[in-house]
Amino acid sequence: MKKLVLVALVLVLALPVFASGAQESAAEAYPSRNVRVIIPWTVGGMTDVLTRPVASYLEKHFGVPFVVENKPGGSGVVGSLEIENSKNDGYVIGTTSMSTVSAKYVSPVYPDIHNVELISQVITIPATVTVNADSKFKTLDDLLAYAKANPGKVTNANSGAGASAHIYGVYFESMAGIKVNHIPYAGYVEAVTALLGGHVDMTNIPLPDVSAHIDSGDLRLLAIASAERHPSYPDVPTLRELGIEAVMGNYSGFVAPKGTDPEKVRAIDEAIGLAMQDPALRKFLIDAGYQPVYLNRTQFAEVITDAEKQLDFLVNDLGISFVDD
Amino acid sequence: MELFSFDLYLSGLHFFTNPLMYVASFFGVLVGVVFGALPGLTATMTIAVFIPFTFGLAPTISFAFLLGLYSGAVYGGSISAILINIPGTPSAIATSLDGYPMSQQGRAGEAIGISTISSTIGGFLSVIVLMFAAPAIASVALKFSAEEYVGITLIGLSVIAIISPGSTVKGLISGVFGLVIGIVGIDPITGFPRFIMGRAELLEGIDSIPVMIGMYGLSEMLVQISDVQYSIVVKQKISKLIPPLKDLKRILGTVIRSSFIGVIIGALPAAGGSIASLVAYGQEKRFGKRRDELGTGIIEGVAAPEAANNASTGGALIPMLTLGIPGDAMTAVLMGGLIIQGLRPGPLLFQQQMPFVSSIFISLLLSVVFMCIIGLVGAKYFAKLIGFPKKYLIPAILVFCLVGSYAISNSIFDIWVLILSGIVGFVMRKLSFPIAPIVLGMILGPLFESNFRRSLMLSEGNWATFVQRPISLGFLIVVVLVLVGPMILKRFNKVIIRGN
Amino acid sequence: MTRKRSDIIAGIVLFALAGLLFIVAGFMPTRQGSVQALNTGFYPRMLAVIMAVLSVLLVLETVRKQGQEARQMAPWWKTKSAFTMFLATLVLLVLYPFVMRLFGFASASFLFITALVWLLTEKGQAKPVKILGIAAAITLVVYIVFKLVLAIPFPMGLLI
Repeated sequence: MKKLVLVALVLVLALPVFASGAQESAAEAYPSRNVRVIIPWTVGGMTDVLTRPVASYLEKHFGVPFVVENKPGGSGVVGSLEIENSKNDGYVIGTTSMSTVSAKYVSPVYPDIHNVELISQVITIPATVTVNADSKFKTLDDLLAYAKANPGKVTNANSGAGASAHIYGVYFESMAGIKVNHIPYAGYVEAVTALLGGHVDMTNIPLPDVSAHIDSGDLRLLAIASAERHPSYPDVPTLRELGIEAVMGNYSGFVAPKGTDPEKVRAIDEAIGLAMQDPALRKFLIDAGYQPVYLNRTQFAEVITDAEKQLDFLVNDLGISFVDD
Repeated sequence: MELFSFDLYLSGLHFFTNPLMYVASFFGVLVGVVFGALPGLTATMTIAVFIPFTFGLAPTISFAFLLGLYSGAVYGGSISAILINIPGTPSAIATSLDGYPMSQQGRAGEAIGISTISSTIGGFLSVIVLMFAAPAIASVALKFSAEEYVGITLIGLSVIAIISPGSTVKGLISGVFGLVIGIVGIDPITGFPRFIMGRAELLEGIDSIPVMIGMYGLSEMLVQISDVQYSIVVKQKISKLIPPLKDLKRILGTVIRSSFIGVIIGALPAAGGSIASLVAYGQEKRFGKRRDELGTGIIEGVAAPEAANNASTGGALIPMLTLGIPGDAMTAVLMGGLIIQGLRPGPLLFQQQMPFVSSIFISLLLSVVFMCIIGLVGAKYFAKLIGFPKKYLIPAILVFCLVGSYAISNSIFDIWVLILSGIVGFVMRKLSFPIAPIVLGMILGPLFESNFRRSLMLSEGNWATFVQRPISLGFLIVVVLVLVGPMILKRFNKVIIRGN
Repeated sequence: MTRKRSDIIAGIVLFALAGLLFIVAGFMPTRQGSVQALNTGFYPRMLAVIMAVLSVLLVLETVRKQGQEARQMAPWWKTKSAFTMFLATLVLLVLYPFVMRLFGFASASFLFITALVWLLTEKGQAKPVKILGIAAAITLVVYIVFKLVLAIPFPMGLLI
């Protein structure tokens, strides 16, 4: 009897295998079925929050589902590798940020931004110089003067050894010619918490994670590391204005596996361009603390080259290592 | 942050008349309880997968649903801990210590009843605290720096030492084993990858959830399968589903103490329900009237952790709503849900979004009420579930463990972690090493290490920093009391007796 | 094997593991001139020492207990049926991820449940239709929960 069951099982299983052989052919309009959107970070994280509304715009635009999948792990390494290794048939796209570029300095296994096709950049996030509202540092000059007089005394909260805020911190430190004590925390949120509690002196964490506390008067924004002043904080100077040549920050954009048909990439890029002009979507992103900046694939490539140069400069010219190895 | 006006409470009263709030909350709790109780599905994951469903809803309705889901899932985690010794969430690990022995004695229904009532009281008290003391508690939580976190994790670790039944040495070895597993991954301070064996999945360390499911679920099933008598089903008495007044009186003190522990520890970012329920169980073990019977299946052992972990749900919302800082993994996901709705959690929420904050209070109250109803009505059916023949139950549970592990981060790697943990757990059970300390050690280890080293970085290598800060010193004294308190107490009693 | 002997063996194995951890941690990078506790290897070494001490304590505790607990352990691996059952389950568990990648998670679950229920059913009582029916029912529940409700992205198998 048991043998019978086994035979039956095998047959049931085997049939569809043969049946599924003949399927799918002929060129069709793109996209004609579900598109997977791989996010290498968790639900509710920075990238997730901005990707989902864009994905739902694309869904309406193309009339096919854009299915968002979160593949978190290893600070984005796991998911980014998954994007690299996915089929390049145009039905898989993913998101990227600066940590995809910086991973090679930190992790023994890492993705390479040159292994994917860029689609477009959607937002930029400027780094900041932020202190507690009760801090004795009223201006950036106060901070720099103190740091120069007391090397290594100023504590700077970052988001983990080798993580983005650590890179900003080291870059700021070397550009300003000071020496600070870098204190690693588990992430942006934990670092900001320490700053709120007055346990550290400053942080370079990007604007979206500190803006709510700046607005409530608990934190003070001394300077912003973007090229131009931020529309929401017109009184806050940029680092460049203050004589520190540091324009730094994170970005987020879409990518596709290497070798995806350029026509398909262009189609998605154009749709994302339209999405970023959508007033409702723009308002949502600004309210969430992001700065929507649509850049097409060639402009996006420049941004990434800049980020790579900055990191190369830090590691090779300044000889900074983010991790002990 | 100034004290807020009564508008905070009044501006949302009209939500009480909105039937959609009730519907959303009820379904949230129901789905949460069921998913929390299914082995292999955790509260965090349940919330994460349901958030996208709530995009189209109004923020108040969506949060009525999500908060129902949150409370329901945390409560539901205790059901599987009691029935099949598989905690649905790490915060239910302590519940299984007495809950499972109770169900093996045929008292599963009674245990679920106690768990329901304790969770309800814990949840209710935490809402009250959230409503009236949130900003105050949040500002206290901010005063906690790395040193204080070292203290609180040490309290958690010391409790591990005292809760394990049987040999203390074996309990400690299990705990240290868990701490060693916690080493894997990128060093939180220097960034050096430790023992990752070239796998990107291990960079952030081994996920504690598949390990927990493996150590509890898989290894328990393996034990049952390799036991000749696996087919024996414990006959469940379906009585005391609604706890009698006598029992309620007996646990009232425990529940209230544990609730306050839950709210406070829950409010500490990153600490969360697993430490809260552990500490609550620990204090019961030290100061409870029946501390010697704890672990054999007594109602206090279920009441303490359950009151604490449901109280910690309200507690964890305190820093999320007032500071924009999530208290645990679940609130981190919830916070993403808030942002997606276009609301910014943080100091301005209480001032600018009073009706919404008010609706959150109402949603939480509703979810507590529905949790109580669903729990008490459902207890009978839950208890009957384990009456299912083992030959069907075991495969079903195993499949849920397998698929659930994959679903945590959509990765086959976690299935391997699950299987390996199952085998390790099996060997440990056979050698009678306790399981709970491993999982707790794994969760507390990284928290302890990173804060310990961070403290020394902040103090520039000054070890005295741990005793120079008053709160930190206080915690260290608690640690000493937990570990050697009973001995001192005994001495003290002797001296008094001699003196008389 | 007695409980006593198994505990002593466990103690020795743990001591060896602790030693290994101590040695490996020594190869982790150190920073010159900073506090020792800030080095990568400090905490693993600390745990290794604690583990070593505890394993010695375990052996001492066991030896001191002068045979009072030296009862025979349940020799679960000696009963043939229990051991086969255990091994078969392990094999099924290990096969699951492969089958899942090949055929999809629903097929893998169905096969897994069918095989295990069949194994657990007493000889001569197996009713194939009933087993298949129950396996299909459980698979359906799993499919509804994970695929339809939770929309988990499973690997694309040849089947579902």
